[in-house]
Amino acid sequence: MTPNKVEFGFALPIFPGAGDSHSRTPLLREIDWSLLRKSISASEKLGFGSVWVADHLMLGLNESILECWTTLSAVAAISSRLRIGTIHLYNLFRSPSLVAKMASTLDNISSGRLDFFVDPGHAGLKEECTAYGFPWIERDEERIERFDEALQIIKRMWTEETVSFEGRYYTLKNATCNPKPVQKPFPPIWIGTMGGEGWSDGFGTEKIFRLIAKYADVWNNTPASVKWCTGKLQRLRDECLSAGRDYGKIVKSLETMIIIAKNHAGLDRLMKQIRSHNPKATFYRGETQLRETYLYGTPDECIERINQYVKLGMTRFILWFVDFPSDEGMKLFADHVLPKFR
Amino acid sequence: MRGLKFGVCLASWNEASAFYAGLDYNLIKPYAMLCEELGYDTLWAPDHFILGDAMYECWTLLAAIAAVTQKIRIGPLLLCYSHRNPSLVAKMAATLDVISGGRVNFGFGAGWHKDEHLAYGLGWSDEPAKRIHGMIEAIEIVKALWTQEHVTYQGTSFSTNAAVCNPKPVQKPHPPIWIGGGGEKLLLRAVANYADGWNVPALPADEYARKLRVLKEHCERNGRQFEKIEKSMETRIMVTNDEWETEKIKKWLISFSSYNIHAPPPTDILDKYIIGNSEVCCRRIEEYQKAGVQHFTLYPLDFPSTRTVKILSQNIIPSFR
Repeated sequence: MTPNKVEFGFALPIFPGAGDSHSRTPLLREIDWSLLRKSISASEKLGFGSVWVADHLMLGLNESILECWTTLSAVAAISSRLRIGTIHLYNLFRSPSLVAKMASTLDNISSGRLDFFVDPGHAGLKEECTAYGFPWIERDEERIERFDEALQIIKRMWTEETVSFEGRYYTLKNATCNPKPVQKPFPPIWIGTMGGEGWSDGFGTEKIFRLIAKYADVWNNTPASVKWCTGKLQRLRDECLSAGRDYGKIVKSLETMIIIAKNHAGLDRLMKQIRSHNPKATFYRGETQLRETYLYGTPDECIERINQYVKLGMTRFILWFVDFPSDEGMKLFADHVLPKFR
Repeated sequence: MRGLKFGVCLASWNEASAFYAGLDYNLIKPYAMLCEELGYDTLWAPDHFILGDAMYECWTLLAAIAAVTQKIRIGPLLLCYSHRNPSLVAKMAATLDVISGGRVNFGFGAGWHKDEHLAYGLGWSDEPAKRIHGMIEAIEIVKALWTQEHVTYQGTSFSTNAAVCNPKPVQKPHPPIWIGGGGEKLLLRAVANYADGWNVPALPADEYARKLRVLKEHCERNGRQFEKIEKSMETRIMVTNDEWETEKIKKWLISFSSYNIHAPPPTDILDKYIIGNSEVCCRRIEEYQKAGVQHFTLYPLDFPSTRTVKILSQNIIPSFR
């Protein structure tokens, strides 16, 4: 991994967000796999570094979302250069031993292109968890403890021949996981923090920083302002100091929305379109909020905004192009923004 | 008799072939694509974590293969009910059905690999009745999630609470559910009640015919049309004239029959599968067809060589279509 190189990923719109149902995909009304397939190929062709798939069971308009791992594996199969990642794989949904096996398989199938982005789960998942019959874990502390055990198991299964584990939550007895991942010692582990958009501020817990310092190759935050990220990075620096971890060795990433158009008239048209598909304006309010929290503007304005984050040391960007199903945003970005960061 | 179907099981672990002990997606992928080109009906992969020395996770592999094929049907053989939460499985399968354009065969089973469950920390019951009950609950949940808008289900092993699984599968009313196994009291009854397809590991033809009679009785007792269930058998196959190859296969089959529960005893081991020259293979297939087999799930013993799948599709299958 080259920490200082600025790289951009494409977040795959696998759930519709129109009708004020989700901020990430405000113009999308239904899932169309052929369209998604095209956008994966376009990402590879246009020079994006990675494609990202979210892990939810019920989300967006009509609770309609594709399953994360099935989709990610298909993304791996129809691309050859792109890195592929989960945002985020929730520890609540699958047993860690199975996840280790799935991930090593996917790293093999993709010839070493997996970014392993995982999460302990947060308060925002209560509804989908209980709906799908997963035991709901109320306390942040317990979710974090489980996650800690899960990461120990996964790392050991990726690197050791036979693993036995007696934890508080998980038990393994002579588990093997072969073939091992292609990437050595194992695929990069991403762990993130949440919040920065208002509605998501209460999700997650600061306690996660302990595990980020302990396990993460990459830290990420969900869409957030420069001010919010500055605060989180300070917190990460403190945690690294007390854990004896080299802060500089952790790559910093931002998952965010991008509202991009050639000029201001184009931006106005895009916002008008978003408002007509989301009449309650639950997520998209004033321009000030948009300019501060997301990447909003002409290509030049977006470059300027990205540089504000780069100055903080953030070098990875996972982008939700809000104009999807149009591909204009991603093309504009590839033509005018990507070249500035090569 | 015509209309026999042929499926190929992918070499997703390093002991699927008698002539190759490696594991490589870059061999499996072109092989799968060739099978599609040759006109095979289905592709399958088993759902285990520890077979041989190296194995790919079933669903990850199948989703990748679905993305690089266009018309061949795809399914797990079989997804074990206790490996994953069944509502998540419903969502995974619905997604695969969308991605593949409606090509999923949903193979499902009650599991047998105890050590694997203990190793991976997954719940295990020694009582087949309990496992089969769990499998049935899982199937009820999966079917409900595929066909209904909000699903609330209270079982002894699994439950859901106003769960929604959207998008729905492409196939209507839902992807065919295949149940595998040969247990005559409970498993075949579950097949009669829940399955669109039935698969069983290699049996002699007369034994296969007898199982079908048992299945038919279950169907009659439970008001199910026996004819509506597609009857399949899983077996190993190799088209060969060569004595050295035949000897090698024999030794190889015997070498692991000691720990593989699906393997028959060493005596006459070649007769348990479909192994021999074209005439022999043809005759064996015909025997099974007469016994009631409508679909074969085949492990070609010579993977990564393409000889068997080619000869079979070019010289043998046409006479059964």
